[in-house]
Amino acid sequence: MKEELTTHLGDRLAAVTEACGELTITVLPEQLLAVARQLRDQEALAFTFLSDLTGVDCAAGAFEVVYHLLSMKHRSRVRIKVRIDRGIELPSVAGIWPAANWYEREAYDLLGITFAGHPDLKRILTPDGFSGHPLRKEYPLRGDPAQGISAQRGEVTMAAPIAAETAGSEHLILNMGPQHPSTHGVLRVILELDGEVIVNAEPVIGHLHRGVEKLAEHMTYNQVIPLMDRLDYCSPLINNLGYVLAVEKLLGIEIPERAAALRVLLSELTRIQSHLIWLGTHALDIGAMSPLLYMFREREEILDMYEEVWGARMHLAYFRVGGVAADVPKSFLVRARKFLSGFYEKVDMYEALLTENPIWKRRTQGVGIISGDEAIALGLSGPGLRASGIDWDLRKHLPYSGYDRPWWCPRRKSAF
Amino acid sequence: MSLLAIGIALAKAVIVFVCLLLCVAYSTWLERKVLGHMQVRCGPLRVGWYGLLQPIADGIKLFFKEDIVVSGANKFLYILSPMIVMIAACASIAVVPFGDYIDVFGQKIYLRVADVDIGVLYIFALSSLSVYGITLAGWSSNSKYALLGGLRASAQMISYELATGLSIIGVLMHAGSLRPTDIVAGQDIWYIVKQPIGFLIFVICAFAECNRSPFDLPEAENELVPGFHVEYSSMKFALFFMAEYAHMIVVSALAATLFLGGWRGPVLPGIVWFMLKVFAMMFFFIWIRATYPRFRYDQLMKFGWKVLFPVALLNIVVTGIGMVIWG
Amino acid sequence: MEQQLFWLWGGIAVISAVMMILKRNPVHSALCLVVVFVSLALLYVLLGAEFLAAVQVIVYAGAIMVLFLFVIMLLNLETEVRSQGLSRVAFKACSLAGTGLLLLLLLGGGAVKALRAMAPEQVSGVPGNTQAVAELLFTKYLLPFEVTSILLLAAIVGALVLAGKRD
Repeated sequence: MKEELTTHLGDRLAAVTEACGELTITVLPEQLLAVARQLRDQEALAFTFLSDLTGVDCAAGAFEVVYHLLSMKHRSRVRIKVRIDRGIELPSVAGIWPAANWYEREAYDLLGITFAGHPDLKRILTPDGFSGHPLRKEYPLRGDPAQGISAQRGEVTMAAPIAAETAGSEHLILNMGPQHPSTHGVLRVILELDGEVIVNAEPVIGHLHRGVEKLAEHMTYNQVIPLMDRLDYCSPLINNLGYVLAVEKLLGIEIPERAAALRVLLSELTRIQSHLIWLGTHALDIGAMSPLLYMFREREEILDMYEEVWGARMHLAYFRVGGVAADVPKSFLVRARKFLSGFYEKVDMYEALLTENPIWKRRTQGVGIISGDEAIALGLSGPGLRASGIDWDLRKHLPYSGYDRPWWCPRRKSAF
Repeated sequence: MSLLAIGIALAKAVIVFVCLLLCVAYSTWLERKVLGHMQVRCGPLRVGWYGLLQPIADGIKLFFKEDIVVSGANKFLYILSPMIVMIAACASIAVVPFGDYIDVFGQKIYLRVADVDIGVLYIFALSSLSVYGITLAGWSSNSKYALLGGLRASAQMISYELATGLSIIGVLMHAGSLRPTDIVAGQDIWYIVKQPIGFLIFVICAFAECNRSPFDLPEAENELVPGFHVEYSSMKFALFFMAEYAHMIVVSALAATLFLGGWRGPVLPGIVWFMLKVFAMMFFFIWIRATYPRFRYDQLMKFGWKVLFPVALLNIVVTGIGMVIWG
Repeated sequence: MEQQLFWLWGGIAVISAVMMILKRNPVHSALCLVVVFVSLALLYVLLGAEFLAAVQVIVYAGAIMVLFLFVIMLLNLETEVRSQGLSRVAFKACSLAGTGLLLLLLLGGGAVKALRAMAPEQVSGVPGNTQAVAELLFTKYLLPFEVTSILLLAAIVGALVLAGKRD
């Protein structure tokens, strides 16, 4: 891939470096759009998927913006780094990768980097009326005293773009949330309705933002692990895994085979219980009570296994940089084997309760369809991406951790 | 009318009313127990043997809760509407025959409160009035959730009332009468055999009329909190709650009378057969609640108007043709 | 007994009808009309026309008025909307005058006599009057019955056409 990059983009790149097996290209701000477009459109590169976009405060009056790109076609990753001085605008890549829309808003909100040509550059995580950029190094860790609760409580505004577009039309703008019986947690969605059909929705996602990055900056590497548990309390261990993998890659640590196997086993159990929560609460939300309780029975079994492994039931913090916290008891393996062999039967029952249920099908089929191209453009990942018809599973196509070992063989009934 | 007859009539009314309230209380227990066991839970266990005193504990609790009238509510209608719902639900049971008759000291006592000529229509009239209670509860409590619940309820009940009415016409054609006792007397073969489609439509509509899952949109807790009665507390809420179960019992009793042969059955006394049939219907109500998700609102309306209504009409035509051919 | 009940239900019907006109809140007005319908149904019961009574409640109170109420609630009509046409005093005066006239007519001997003339014996002679109504509808009054149904059908089609014209 390195050769491909230099042949196609040679004269536009300031530097191409490889560290820890990861490719990084550095470009000048004025070259960014041209490089980005070529990266996406050039057949030999085909970086159609923007995984992430982050800003970094480099302290010396400069920012670095990092674009993480993925090429599904060539199964490779590359990141673009652009260095700018504070106060300098960077061209927006939202026109090339629509996924950049929110990421750029995040960088704008938390660091104050402005992107020229962004469709709607406004704050995304901090509350309305907030001032300052919390992820800048000079911003105090415990918050700006001038930004007390009362100062943060700015005027709550209806989303301007939706309202402007619909001026004069018969569509109704409806505010849903942040407190609503159907939202688990706090989420506000501004809906545009045509009768009973939602034609446009703008989510306001910042209500649960806790500034984990800022907290992590002030901790040692091992102290950060418990923070990762809380990113998604439904699948704590998988978030742990992502973090420790990154640290291990930076430090060049090889972990023991048994630890890798345990990580995979526990991550997959976590994945199962996370999906059980999702599916169960989804069913409950459309009125099917029983599946939730059946799924919680199975989830309970997994939580009991967690407890056996490391004492806690939710926020395990079991993975460590360099392996896991301790070996598992023997009884855990017996229990896991028994649970997993019985689980296929349970899945069949869920299928009977939901996917073979005419009312469930009516409620879900044809609602909110995302096409494969849209999914890639918007940076959708995991089951959502596969549901859009894209055959992409990181564990299979770009294996990491233990997923590249021969003993990992995913079984799957039917998909692609 | 002799004094004795008046006394008997009064006693019957009181006994039936008390029994109905008792059944309502214990159908909440039944629902929680059955639903619990279907969902790998236990249901009530702590109060009394197998939680059998739970309904009484609930009643006492609700009785002593603070009775709130929301600010901005239309006070008169706010208080009136739970009464309407409860009265409509309880009064319907008056025309349902529980059994033939029993001999008490040589006095023939018929097991029904009133043997009305137009009994079936009477039940329908009352159930159409109970819509007011729900709609007005939603409107008068000055809350958006309640208003939406009330609107949904009224639209849903009007739509499904039509199909309910049409679904039983086949039975009425067979029986040639609107009097419940005549209908029971006509069932040497249960009408469910002669009118399977009518029964199916009737049961589906019954679910919708009682606002039960999968048609529980007026009180869909994930969308509207509990819908029309969200602002009610204490006994006013309890009245809604009881009315829902009373309505379920009445509808089950109606189904037993119209389609399942009423009190008729071998060996066991009539009233036991009747209770068994009502119980089976109630169990079915609960079973469905444990199984199905809720319809979406437009689907509910479409289903009512575009599927149930025409099928019910067709059923009448087919029944008519059948009766002409086979007498 | 029958006489007293007649005056009771009749009185309630008249009073509710007056209240319906006088009430400023449209929901209250609609409810008063429901009371009128129900008391009319009870008058039918007194006349021995139980079938008519049930149908009166099911159709007028149960379906039509619920739809009225539905629309009123949906539009969330405020009390002011109604009082735009006439001034409040004039409105009340007119409605009171109208009701007074109605009461006079009712109290006038003719009306009472007419009511007495068609007293129970005539109608309630038939035990199951559902059958009597049905027989009359499908024999003697078949043509008006069918004409009415065609009229209703036309109304339904018209409503569908009007509602379907959205764009």
